[in-house]
Amino acid sequence: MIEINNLNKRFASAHVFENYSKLLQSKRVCLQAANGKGKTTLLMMLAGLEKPQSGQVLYNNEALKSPQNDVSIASDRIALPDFLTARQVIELSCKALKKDMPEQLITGFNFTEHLNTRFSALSSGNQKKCQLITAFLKQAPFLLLDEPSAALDQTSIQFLLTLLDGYLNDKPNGQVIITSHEPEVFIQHGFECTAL
Amino acid sequence: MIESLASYVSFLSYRYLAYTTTLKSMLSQLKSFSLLFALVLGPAFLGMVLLLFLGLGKIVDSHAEPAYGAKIAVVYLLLESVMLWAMASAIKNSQNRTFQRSLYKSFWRVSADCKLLLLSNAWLIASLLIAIDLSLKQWLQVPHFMLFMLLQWLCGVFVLYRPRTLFYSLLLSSVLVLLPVSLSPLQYYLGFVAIFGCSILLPPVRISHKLKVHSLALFWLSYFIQHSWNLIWRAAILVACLFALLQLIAVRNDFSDLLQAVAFSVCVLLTSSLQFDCLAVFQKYRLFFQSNNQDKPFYRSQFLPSFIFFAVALILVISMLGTKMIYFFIGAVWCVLQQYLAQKKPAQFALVWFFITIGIVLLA
Repeated sequence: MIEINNLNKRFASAHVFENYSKLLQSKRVCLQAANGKGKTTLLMMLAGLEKPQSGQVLYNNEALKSPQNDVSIASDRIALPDFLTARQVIELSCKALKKDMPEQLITGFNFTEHLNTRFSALSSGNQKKCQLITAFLKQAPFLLLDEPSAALDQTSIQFLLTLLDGYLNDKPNGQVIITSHEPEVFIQHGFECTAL
Repeated sequence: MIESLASYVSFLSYRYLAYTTTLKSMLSQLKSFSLLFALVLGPAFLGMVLLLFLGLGKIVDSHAEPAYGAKIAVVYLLLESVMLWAMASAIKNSQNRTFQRSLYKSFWRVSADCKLLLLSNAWLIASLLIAIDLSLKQWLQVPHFMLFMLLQWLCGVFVLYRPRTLFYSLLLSSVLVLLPVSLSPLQYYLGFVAIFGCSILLPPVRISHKLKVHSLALFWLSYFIQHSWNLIWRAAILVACLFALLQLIAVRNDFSDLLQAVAFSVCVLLTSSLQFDCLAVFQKYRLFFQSNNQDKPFYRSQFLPSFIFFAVALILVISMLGTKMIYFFIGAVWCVLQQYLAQKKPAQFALVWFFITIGIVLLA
């Protein structure tokens, strides 16, 4: 469960969040809002990668000093090293997180043949797959996915849904939060839609 | 026919406009270094132009010391390549290359490239000025100068179309001038032309794709393999400076201390300015490493490339000029200070460097 209290975030003079409070109780949440309303910014703040001007976020009633230890995120706002190959990006993440190469994720997303392609040369769909692989690799209790199905082919969306179905099996206090403009497929898999 | 000519002229106008626009944009990006340029390059501009012609004179008249003339030629080609490399995107209008392909004949593109290349190549223009001034009798005495101009032109062409070939060419040419053999100027330059020709045939080597990026050190290594330009231009300027200072020390040994201080100052400037590039990389990929709980190690690692460059540059300075240990310690502390400024107070970077340089030169 994630509880957001009196969050304030502004970029220059634009207030994205002003005394924003929200309780995300469901295990699987799909956040919805129009473009530019701050979905990605909220996910980044929940992941501890962007700081709000003020406000508090509680994770299972606890304020975390370093949320990034307990939160895994996939978002286009996080620039992956685009001069490395996809394999090198994944290897770097594996080393940092002390994990083995996620062969199952790579095979499941049909990503094997793209491993030796430089990240900048990957198609947007394959870049998304690489983001998802590094996010799932961490196996953190809280998983945040920003537009996870955007640009993915149908087979990969099905594999993503399978992963999401089983993600919380070994994480009783975990939560999956996604943003999507096409939530129907996620609703069918137990996601509860909520407006931002 | 007239219609085609009119189209070609309008294409050339477009390319010239794109060229000047890109150059203006590049210059505006250098605004933060404007103080540095004004302080360092301003007073030295006339000297640098004279040095350019002096060096060309040595290349033309290198019968007494062919190896020395050949070394100067390689340094010239290296510096020329660095300058053209910086201007390559403006010359080619790289951003709109596909647009050009979709509308214009390939011959037109190449023709416009060549015209702008010649316009941008101040080094070749300087050589042409000297060439025009030579009489037929003098030409017959220095046929190697014609080959040198050919090499200058080839450097530009390789920068635009075959950068990898240029790397091989300059590397192998450097090896040739360092070989302990006695050759005539013509033989040296024929050797360079052969090297430039053969380098076209050498296959590309892709090291970075084969690296296992298991650590932050390897991350930076991969980055600089793919963005080698950031290191190459610094190395080229350092080598050229050291080469020039070495010649000055040979002529005026009584200025040795002062010139060593200048060498260290250049070394610190080139090293610490690398921090600007590393900071940009750090800011771009910070979130990725932070999401992998690597934010602090990644922050620390951004200083690694500058320190390694500084160590290598120091070894080069010491091996070429020999130096007092006091400069070593001053240089190390100074480099750390400049890195701090590059990181935290970039506006003061140039000013501090300039005043410390003046201080050290006065002490020397």
